[in-house]
Amino acid sequence: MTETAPQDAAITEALSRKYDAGFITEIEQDQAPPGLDENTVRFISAKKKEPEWLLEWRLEAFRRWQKMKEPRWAKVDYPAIDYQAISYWAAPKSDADRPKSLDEVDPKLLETYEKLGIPLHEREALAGVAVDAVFDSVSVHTSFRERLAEVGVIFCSFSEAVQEHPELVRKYLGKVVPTTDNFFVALNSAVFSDGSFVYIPPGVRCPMELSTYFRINAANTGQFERTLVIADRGAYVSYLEGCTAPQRDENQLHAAVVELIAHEDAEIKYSTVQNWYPGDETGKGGIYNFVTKRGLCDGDRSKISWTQVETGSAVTWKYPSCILKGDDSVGEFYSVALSNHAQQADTGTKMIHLGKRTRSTIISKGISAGRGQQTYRGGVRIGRGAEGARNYTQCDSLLIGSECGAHTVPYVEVRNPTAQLEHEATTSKIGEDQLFYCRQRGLSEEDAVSLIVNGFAKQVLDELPMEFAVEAQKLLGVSLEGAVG
Amino acid sequence: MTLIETLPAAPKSEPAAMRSVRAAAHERLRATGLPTKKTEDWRFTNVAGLVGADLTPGASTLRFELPAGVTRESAAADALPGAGPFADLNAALAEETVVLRAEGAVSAPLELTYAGAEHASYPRVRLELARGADLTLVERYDGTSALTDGVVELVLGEGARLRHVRLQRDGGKLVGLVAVRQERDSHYGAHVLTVGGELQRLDLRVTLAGKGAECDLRGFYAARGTELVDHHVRVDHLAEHGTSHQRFRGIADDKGTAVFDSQAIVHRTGGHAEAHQENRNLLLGPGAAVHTKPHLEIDHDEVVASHGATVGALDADSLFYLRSRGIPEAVARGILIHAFAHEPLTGLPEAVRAEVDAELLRVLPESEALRGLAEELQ
Repeated sequence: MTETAPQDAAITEALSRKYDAGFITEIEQDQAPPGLDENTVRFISAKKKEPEWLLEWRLEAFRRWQKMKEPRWAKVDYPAIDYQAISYWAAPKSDADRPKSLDEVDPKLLETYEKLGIPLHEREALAGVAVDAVFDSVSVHTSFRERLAEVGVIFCSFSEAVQEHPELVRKYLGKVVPTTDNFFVALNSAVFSDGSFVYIPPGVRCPMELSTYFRINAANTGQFERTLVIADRGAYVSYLEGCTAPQRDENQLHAAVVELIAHEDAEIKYSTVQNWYPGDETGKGGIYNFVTKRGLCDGDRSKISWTQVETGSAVTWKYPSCILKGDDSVGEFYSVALSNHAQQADTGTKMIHLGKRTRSTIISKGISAGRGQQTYRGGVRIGRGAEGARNYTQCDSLLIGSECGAHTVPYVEVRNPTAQLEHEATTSKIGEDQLFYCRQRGLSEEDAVSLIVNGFAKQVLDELPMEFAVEAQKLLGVSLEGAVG
Repeated sequence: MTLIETLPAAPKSEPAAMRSVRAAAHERLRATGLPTKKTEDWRFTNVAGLVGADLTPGASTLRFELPAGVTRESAAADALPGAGPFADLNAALAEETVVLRAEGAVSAPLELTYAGAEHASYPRVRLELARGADLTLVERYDGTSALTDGVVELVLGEGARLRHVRLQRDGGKLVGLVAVRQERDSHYGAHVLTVGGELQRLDLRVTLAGKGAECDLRGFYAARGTELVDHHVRVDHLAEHGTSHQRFRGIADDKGTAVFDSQAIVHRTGGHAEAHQENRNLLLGPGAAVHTKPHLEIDHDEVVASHGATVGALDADSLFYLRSRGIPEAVARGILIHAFAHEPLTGLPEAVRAEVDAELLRVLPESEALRGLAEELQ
């Protein structure tokens, strides 16, 4: 590629751009000493004043976890994690008197959000988004609670839900993702600190998009979120999850669990924009993201839709899945994953068709640049009873630079002859003719790549709610502009 | 793992180099054992039935005659390490390695016939094509094997061309490895037909080692009754400007299980590669199952790669069209199934075309109805 030598400098410059959101907020932390044993689990449970059954549930998970092995089948490479070196509890100090409104919130915290371009109060007023901001482990701010309460929607932190709606939590917790599902789920179940809880009562269409912003802050604290979203009969909810974390030199472990349950005729739309610190150019210091997300279409005609834009983390291990149990239920997965520098992402989805005439769509777009490694790993399983099931899968990969890798590993298992299934995938380099055309029309190298990448990902970006679409496009742009090899 | 502990000793008369190859294979096998359902490459293919079975090799089942231009060479110690437990089992127990060499353009096909027997057999063949050689190789797996665990190694010299037809119609247990190594500008074309067999497993591995090498791998498989057919196809693009095509189709009827696993790997050294995979399956029986996994691994950006896989029943629109033209249902189904099966087999060498057609008529559903139609037309 000698003829493009002059561009190389610009490309290198663009590719080596520093993480914009990399800063640390200095807030006093109430932190447990590193280490994990049954006492740690008891400590967390006690701190959160949890009922006995939940403690037992955690301990059971912990005992299972001790017997489990960390999975190594994914195409990601990272140094061994010392689970005893991690502190499993961190909460902002002002635990006793939690702020009632934004004015009472620590101004430094607000400043953090400000730097990230997430002005909470502005959002409240302009976008009408209820934000349940998670700062490390304890929710410090929840808005629009009253308005949601009017229609009966419960949207609160997980710990509040445990206190105020224990019957719902007990009924649904672990129903979709059992504690024994995998190593990271067992760990999360034992030590999860907080998260979000959503319940939409029958027939209610949630009047606004629900949103949680995750932050990882204190060094050396693994963050173990737990999210549970339940849409009762005929309900609808759109849930947004987004995150960004400050620059750190210590690898931070994140093992979240998200469970969605859609009853008859219910619909859940779950969107994620993930921009955690990916580490420096060599991958040092980035976040390890081992997430288990799964939705259960329990009732007939229910629908669960996952949309994700993954641009951060040093290591991503994530497979948002749908179990299509109800007849005529629908599962969707739209994903854009980008790995630059030394980022590694092994991500995809699983669609398990059990009910009759169940349908699923998978659209996955992977972009690899620098020395990034990207794997789409997906599974579509059509059971014996899934009469007339239908799946369409498309996964495309775009390669930018000769040192990156893009891999596609789809698993397809069909056991019903009336099912129909199609899988398509392509892998190619960013189009030189497209680049040339744009450059010839006077676009800069950076703008041209941004345009092409956004076009490549458009099918997925279109699925994002308005509030997120803009942010996601900006993210892709920032992470990749001008990245041509 | 008693089976592997008690592997019969290799013949004593062999050269020392060969004996050490066997010993190494035996050692690997003892360490790994036969694959279980937890082994990723054997998830759907259960070979537990072989553990404890009598695996003692019997008399050679391989028959062949050499056409002019192909000569037999003395055996060399060569063992394909890391090719899997069955390749190791073969290396440890093979009676001998038949080494053949082709030079120039060979007009008559080289035909290898394996007669499945009641005892286990471990045929091992290495075929080398000299620079610029041109050959058609036809392999036939017949009979009903207790176990045939075969290894075929094909080495294509610079600019060599090989057309390989492999007819797998052994009614018993057949586990085979075809390992192909291609030098610069060589061309390898494979047609695999797998019809029937209690357990049929083929690993087809092609290494594009020289610049500009091309391979075109095609096949059709049918799993009927309670049969299991499993194809693992893998192409490694090691050198630049390599081209690979994989086109496989199959049907699963009754309670048959079809497994298809294909990999195209473009290594860092394999730039300007073109890699395409296609796998289509017809699922006809209510108890049948298809597992397919087209897998791309790309470590270079100068690449055009694609894969496609489908699983489904016969297309209702096509069926309706034929029915609306007055064609009886069974015939219409027969036409569609045969058309589906023939597509990947285009380009078959003339020598085997009639034989393949007959095999398809024998195994495909609704063939009877179709035969009636053919007679009517005549």
